[in-house]
Amino acid sequence: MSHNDSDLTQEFVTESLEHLSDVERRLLDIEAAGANLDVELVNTVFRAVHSTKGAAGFLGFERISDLSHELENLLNLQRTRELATSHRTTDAMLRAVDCLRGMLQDVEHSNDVDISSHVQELQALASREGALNSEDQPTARQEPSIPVACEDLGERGSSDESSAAKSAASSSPAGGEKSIRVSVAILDRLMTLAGELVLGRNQLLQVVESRDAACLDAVSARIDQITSELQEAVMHSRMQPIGTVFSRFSRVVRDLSGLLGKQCRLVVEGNEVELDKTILEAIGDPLTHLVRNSLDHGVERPEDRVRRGKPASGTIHLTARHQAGKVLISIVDDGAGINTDKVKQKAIAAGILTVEQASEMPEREAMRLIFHPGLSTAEKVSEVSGRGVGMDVVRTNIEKIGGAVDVESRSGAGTTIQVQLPLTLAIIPSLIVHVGDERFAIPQNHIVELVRVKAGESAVPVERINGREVLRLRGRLLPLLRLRDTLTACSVASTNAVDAMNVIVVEADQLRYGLAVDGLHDSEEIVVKPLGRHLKNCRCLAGATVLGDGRVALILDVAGIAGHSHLSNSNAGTSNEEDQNKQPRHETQPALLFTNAADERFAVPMAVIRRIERIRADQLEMIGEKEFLTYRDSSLPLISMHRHLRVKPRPNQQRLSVLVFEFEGRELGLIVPNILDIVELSTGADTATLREPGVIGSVVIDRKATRIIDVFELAGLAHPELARAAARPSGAAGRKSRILLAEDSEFFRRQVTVFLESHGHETVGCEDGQAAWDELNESLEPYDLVVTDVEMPRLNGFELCRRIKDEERFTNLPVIALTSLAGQEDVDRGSAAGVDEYQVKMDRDQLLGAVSRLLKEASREHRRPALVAT
Amino acid sequence: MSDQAVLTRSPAGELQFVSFVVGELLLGIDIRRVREINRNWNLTVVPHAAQAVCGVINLRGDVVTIVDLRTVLGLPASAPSRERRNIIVHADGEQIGLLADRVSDVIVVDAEQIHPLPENLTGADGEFFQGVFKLDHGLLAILDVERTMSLAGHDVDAKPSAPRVSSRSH
Repeated sequence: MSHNDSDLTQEFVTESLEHLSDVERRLLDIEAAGANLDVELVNTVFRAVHSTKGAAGFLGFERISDLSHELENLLNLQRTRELATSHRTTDAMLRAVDCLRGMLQDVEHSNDVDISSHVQELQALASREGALNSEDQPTARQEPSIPVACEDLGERGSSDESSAAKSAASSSPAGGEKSIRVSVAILDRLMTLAGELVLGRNQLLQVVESRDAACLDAVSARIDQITSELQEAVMHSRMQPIGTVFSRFSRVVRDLSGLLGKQCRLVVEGNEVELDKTILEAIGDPLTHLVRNSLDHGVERPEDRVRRGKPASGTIHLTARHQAGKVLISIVDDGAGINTDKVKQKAIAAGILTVEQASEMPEREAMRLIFHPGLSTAEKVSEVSGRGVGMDVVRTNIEKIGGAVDVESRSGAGTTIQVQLPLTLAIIPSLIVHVGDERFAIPQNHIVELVRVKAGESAVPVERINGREVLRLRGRLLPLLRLRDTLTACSVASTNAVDAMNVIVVEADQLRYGLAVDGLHDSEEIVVKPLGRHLKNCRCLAGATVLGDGRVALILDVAGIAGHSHLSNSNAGTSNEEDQNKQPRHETQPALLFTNAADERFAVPMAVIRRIERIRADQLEMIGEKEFLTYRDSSLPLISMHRHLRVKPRPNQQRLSVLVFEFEGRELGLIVPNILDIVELSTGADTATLREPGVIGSVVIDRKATRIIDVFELAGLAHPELARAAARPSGAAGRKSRILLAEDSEFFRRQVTVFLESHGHETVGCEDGQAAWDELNESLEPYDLVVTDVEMPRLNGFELCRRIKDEERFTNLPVIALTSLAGQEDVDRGSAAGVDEYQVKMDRDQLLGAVSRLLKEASREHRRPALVAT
Repeated sequence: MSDQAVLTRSPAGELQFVSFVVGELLLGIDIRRVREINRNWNLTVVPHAAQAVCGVINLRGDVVTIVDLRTVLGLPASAPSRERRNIIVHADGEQIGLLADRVSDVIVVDAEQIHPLPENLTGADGEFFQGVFKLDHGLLAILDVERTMSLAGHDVDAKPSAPRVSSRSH
């Protein structure tokens, strides 16, 4: 074939494929329109097929031409209304279009393709023109009688799928296109900017010639600006609307719902949101999988839906939108939701969880199990086919391009899957680190935190377990890798006597570990450059970049390094330990660890501490029996532990620390001789053995018994005159207000109950959300307020709140959610569930303030509606 | 590789080769494949790379792999010297730098005068060459760039990857 011909063919293929991608969408539109046939729409499809036929005939691709011809015949009957649109006609035409597309993609061999079955089918449909409407009800979705068993469970993506759906998914033009279309406007802009850049260069050359330093500033500013604009324009040229990926899903949903005997509507929003084309290419298959999952495992069969009072036809909302410099794609179905009990059972059967872990696992964590590699039973066939791919692969693929995926589900109401994607892959914020003389870039999205470990630290946090180094970080054990050892190629002589070690805590593939480096540099936005083919196999590297000084720095692949060092979630030994720590059996609380006499250890939850003052012993003043510290023109009442608790006397030392906290609206100080550390305090405290007034209980930290101080109780002992003022009940009209407390940790339950009761509220504690819900429903006396923990087994705090707010008789019952840490995400989720207030655990004054405020509001606005309603 | 010879033949039957020295060998590369010759020693060492890969450099914004021809040809690795040069060539749509001890002249050769390898250069070493040309003072061996590049990457993927795979599919 001559050169000219092959050019012509290439153009024909490109153009025809473009026509066909439109045709598919339009055929679905035609089907949806049903009897209200839009003739113009059919005409458009007709023209597209017609031009494909003409060009194919001209170039000698007979089979393509023949099949197009049959398709054209059918469309012709359709537009003259001689043939009604039906599910069958659409099916046949879509299949023919698939076949055409296949032939076009391998156009040289298109004449060897057997198209007879398609031709026969189309001819059969066309020949029944006279008998139109006889058996095909126009557009009514017939339910094919293919029963497909599917479990509404995390084992997603394993059941049968139509080959049509598969081909629709895999044949879409998402796989590594060689050319893209760029609008002329962008090209013009690029041209203008390139011109500007040339002018800038000319100026620069002149300035350098004349050695005029003053002008140099102006020129460099100009070049700087042009470069940024040029970069922006080039990035823009790579951006493509996500609609190109979304468009294939109408077909996927249509074909798959037919096959599964389900009815489902796909609502797409945000087609215009633009993403870098490399991301679009990478996201196609994971999204297809997620959409199919929603349909397969989420949306119920019509009869089940009707039984549950839902419309027979399910809906999947596919939405893309911008959020905080990222693109958020959500796939929301109104199906059955995820049955976490089943997921847990599966996880137990697969050995991922113990029965005990499962029972204590919060709902949301349990849902996330569907992304666990061990849980997906589907075998990993290939990434391209989009079939047989487990949810863990979906997650891995999304994380590979710097994205994240999360799931939320309400039993019976549906599942929401959210995928977060970066706008572009080409420029990523990274932290530059160095080992020896070499610098490396670590993408910020993998970095959890930076830790500096001093060599002389008393409690050495780096230990060896099974020959591997681990880092003890706030009670968790993290596998520790030294980047120098991992990258043995950098055999630079190790800097002698390191006084501190910089550890970067990174996370990839749900695996968290520490990476020790020699030093940290700035955080920079780096431009990712590919590595040559000789270096493609280095799994520790994700690419390279050029730094400001012109030298190349390598970009580390966090997941690859873990793999190279054989760290993995399922490894025995350290990581197991780490796993357990990762899903703590109890929530943890940061607490300040200190000693009184050398061997007596104590802890105070950080949440209650306002600040810490360092003082000299001679600053203490005694007034009567009590100690005070005068500073900032006022006196701070102090508490010495040895006066009120069974502890040894305070050691005689020059310098002391004072923990300042707030009690009844004024500040008090607790004298602590030696502060050791801040630790994560497990809330599984022993509340019996060492209990005494002022001590809540004890925990074992570093194999040493540590008493947890209740500073408020202690303050009451030390300064009873302050406490008495508070003991007045704050409930309205003399009646004690009743508060329901849901909290799974006995330690906190006791603690909060003490807070509340000391303030005159009658408090009933329940061990989880379910118990609280039962109590709320069964109690004869109404409650005035609910205080609930967030993460609890069986029924979590948000769920409890949602139930309360959904119930009419409880709508005015205020709910306070307690957390150890209130992240913005939690606050958002809480307010979505209807939580009235967020409070940090152990912050007594804040909590009591919120309680009395909400009680007052409730009684003023609603005149005790809870009482009336029951 | 015969394709190569056909493609590089100029109408007059004359070919131009950049000649350079690696160890004791005088080698030649078709001048049309050579993008530039530089002495950029701002090498960034790449961990876990093949032995022959010295590292990467920044060539006007592109990250270019530098391959030490001495290592490829089984000679001891080169030591820094004032005469050492990177010859940047095009190979398979990628720019790659070949590290040479010294770059010599551009030699014009009549294509008819290129001979197959002599006996003492065949075997393992012979794989790297397309042919030889007799000069007044010795031989010019014509380097087969594609072949050299693919052999240079040989020990890259010798890294064990099995444990990770097996641990995932329990």
